[in-house]
Amino acid sequence: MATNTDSNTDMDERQDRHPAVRVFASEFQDSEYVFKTEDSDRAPKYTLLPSGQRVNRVLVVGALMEVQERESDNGGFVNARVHDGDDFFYITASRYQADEATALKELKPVIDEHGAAHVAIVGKVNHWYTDDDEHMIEIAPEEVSQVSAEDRYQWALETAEATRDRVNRFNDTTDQEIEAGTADADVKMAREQYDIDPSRYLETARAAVNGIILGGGDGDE
Amino acid sequence: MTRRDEAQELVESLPDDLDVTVDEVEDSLDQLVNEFGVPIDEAIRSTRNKYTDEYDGEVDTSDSPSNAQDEDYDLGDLTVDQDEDWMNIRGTVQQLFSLSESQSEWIAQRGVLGDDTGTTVFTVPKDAVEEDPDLELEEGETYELESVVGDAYDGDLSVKITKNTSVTALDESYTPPDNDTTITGCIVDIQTDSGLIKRCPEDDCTYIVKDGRCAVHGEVDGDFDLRLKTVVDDGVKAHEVYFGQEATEALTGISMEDAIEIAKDAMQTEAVMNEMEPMLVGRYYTVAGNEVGDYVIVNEFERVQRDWQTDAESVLDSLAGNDEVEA
Repeated sequence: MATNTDSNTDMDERQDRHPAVRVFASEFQDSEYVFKTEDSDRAPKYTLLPSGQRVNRVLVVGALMEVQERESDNGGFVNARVHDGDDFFYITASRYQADEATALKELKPVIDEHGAAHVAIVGKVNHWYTDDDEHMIEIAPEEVSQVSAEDRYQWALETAEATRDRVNRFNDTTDQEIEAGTADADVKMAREQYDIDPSRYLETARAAVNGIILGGGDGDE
Repeated sequence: MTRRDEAQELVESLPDDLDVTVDEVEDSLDQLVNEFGVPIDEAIRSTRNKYTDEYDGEVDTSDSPSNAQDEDYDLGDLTVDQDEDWMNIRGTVQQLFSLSESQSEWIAQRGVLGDDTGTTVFTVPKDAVEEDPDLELEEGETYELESVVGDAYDGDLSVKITKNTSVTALDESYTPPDNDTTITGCIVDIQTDSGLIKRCPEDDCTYIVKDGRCAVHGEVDGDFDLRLKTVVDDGVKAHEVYFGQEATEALTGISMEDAIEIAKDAMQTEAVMNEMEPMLVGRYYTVAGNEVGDYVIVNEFERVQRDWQTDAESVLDSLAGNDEVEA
């Protein structure tokens, strides 16, 4: 994993598509630090997870529980909430995501009838602050799609494993490695930017995975 | 290994009739490493390229195709180590790619060559074909290609046919090994020009017909084709995955006939893509196929299906394990 920084640099140079990182809502909500690797306006923005992983794009598969249409000075937009088995992701589709806004609105009747709908959301990360200076993080969707319970299970399992691996890497990184510059750059940054023990996200992962076991895991919800 | 040894090894790997001394190569490596801070591997590569580039120039002017020293390669054995090497290969043309407008400014053909051991992308530059029309290859045909040159890019080696390449049609056929890549991930995007498309019907033209026009041949009717250019994301890398007609039909349950019907009803080919996209995005698949250039060409695929209960319990165990370690 020590090559992680290098591969990220390569990626920027070749303008490869950013992978959709798997993260649970509770860790996502704690992610406040944003940075760029180049100075230009068009350079990609990264959000840093407290477990030490840069994120440009995310994939979330969960239960769509609520869709609300709102009006603002900038035109209409759609707010939605997706539960990952432990906590909520907040989705906002503005007029720049018109197709995704429509897709969310079209799922309203499914929620009304069944209480929720299994959805996959692919999107970029947006940050803003309330009048009380409270940090808000949400997803600007690139794709919205109704999926099956199996897709949710698969997402929960691989997100639990990805979270576990990140937390292990963070915990296994020594202060000596950080001083020597041999530590993963994202882990180093997370140590500097956050005062959070990411081990707490293992609890989140447990809750999400337990959801599969309690739900019967037969994909027949 | 000392700098001297590295220089010695490099000189030995260069063609014999190239007049290079070990001293000269050692100086070049020293300069790159010490003055420019270039890693030794890169210094060796760059120095080798410098000499072989000069060498290529000599061959171009000599007009005598001296292929004697080119090595024979199985396609499965090609790696980036053969960058800028001249070599002899043989294989069956598996596929010809459609070219973008900027590519077709200098490329006559680009496609996939396969033998029993693997596949590689080949490129036929326009100027080569202009000089020797026999250099143009046909899909499904098998050729012996003497003196092609390796071209490393992004961890893959492709081969380039040049004016000095000799092409011989063979009366045999190769089938590449089944799959060299397996990916499990979520389909996070379907790229444009997927679904039902029309290809230019002109011989050897691989362009897509848009609004009834081919970029090269102008107004043409076009032949229907069905394909999907997807992005399968495993959380670490966004893989570009290509479904050909058969795989697209199997994946979506929409046959070519169905697709043409859908397009006719909607009076636009994009309607097919609009129908397919919601079936696929957000779904998890395991795909197996061959890595060819930027794409993985799918041979087989299946929906991710596991014993969720059992797998959830074992993931849960691995999470609990971590906590105990910390405690």
